[in-house]
Amino acid sequence: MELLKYFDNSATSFPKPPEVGTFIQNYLAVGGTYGRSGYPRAAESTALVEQLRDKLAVTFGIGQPEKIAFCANSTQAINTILRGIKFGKQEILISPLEHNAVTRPLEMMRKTSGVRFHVIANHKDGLIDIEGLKKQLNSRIGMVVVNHQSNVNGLVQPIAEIKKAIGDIPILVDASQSAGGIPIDCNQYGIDYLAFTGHKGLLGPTGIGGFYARDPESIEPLIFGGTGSNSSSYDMPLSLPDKFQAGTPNMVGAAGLLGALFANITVQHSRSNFVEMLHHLNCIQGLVLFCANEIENQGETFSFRYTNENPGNTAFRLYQLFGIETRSGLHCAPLAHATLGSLPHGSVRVSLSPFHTLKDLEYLANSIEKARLDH
Amino acid sequence: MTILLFPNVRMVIKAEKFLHQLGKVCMVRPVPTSISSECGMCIEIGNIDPESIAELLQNAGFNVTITKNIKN
Repeated sequence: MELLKYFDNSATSFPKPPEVGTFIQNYLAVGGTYGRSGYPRAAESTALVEQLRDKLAVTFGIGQPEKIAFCANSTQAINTILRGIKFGKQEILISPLEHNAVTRPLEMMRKTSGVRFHVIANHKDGLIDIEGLKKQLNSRIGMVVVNHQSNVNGLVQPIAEIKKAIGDIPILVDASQSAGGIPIDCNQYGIDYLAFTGHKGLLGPTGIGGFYARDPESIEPLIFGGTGSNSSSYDMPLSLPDKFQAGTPNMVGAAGLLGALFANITVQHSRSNFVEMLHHLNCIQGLVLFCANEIENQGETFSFRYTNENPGNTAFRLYQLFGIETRSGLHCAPLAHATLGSLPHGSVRVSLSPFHTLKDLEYLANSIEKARLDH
Repeated sequence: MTILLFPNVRMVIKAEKFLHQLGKVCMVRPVPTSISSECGMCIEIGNIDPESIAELLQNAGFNVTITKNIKN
């Protein structure tokens, strides 16, 4: 069996399950828009989108599927939530491993409307310090934003524990990296807002993502336009999910993501395979590993760098010599790298797929070892 | 013709599926322009008592409005 040398699944997953292509082809063969028209073709394609919404609601433990709105990706979802809430003089706490999808809109809001945000107290690996967080809480805090799984070191934050600590303060969970790979139960964890994308852990195509809002009335839409409902009004409808879904949705993306959710995925490596590989890497001289301090907090993404080399060169050599595809640099997460002490050069990131086998992981670890400059 | 109006297309699609599961004859169609439309899609029901259908839907959580005697 050919080795799977693609280790950039935090950027986008590859390969996709065959069902993704099948559902997309089937949709393209039949066509049809979402809502708008009243013939069977349109009804069937609309039903496809609603089936996707229902399946995602089950996946994420959401009791009211209409509170899930589709958009292009997590970034658009996070922008809709952060920019759609009237924070006034409230302040926002963010986790220390946030992506620019959170920090850039917040920085824009800081400059234009004076919204203040602060980084939550944390341990060295970016794990939120719950007791430190409690000390940061006060009546001005309007939201806590947490990247569920870091796209740099793979650390998984304890969402339920964080929500318990912050009580009634709303929590926005960025599930870009965790959705599909780690169980998420919005109801059980008390998640108020969840942003997700379809093309990473959920194994769907690019261009389809969305968000959940427990209290959709708290958010103003980001995009205004036609919804196929309440068409006589110049105002956006208040009914859900239409309030947040102006314009024709990505039907091809929805079909592909639905296909991914129907796929029966068997993970081709064990947890101990992954842990042993991390141990192997940790023993390589001159290699600095960026991962969770405790293995139970570790998702299947991590970073490393050789102390004597720029990560970009290491990643380039890994590909040239061994055909291994990784991502180097700052991973659009300078705050995370600042937290981990890996600025300014960043790291080489490795992110797994459920389709990686033990042999793939062994090949990866051996290749990283051989890629050391002075090997 | 009697039609059922809903606030949005998601509810139309879910209601159609719900009624089919109960064995009720119905079909999705465009909202006639002669009436105030909430949505581009609605459900036309055949020779079924509209009130009983509406009750079924309302009990299942659907926000539905019945419009009777619509001419094509």
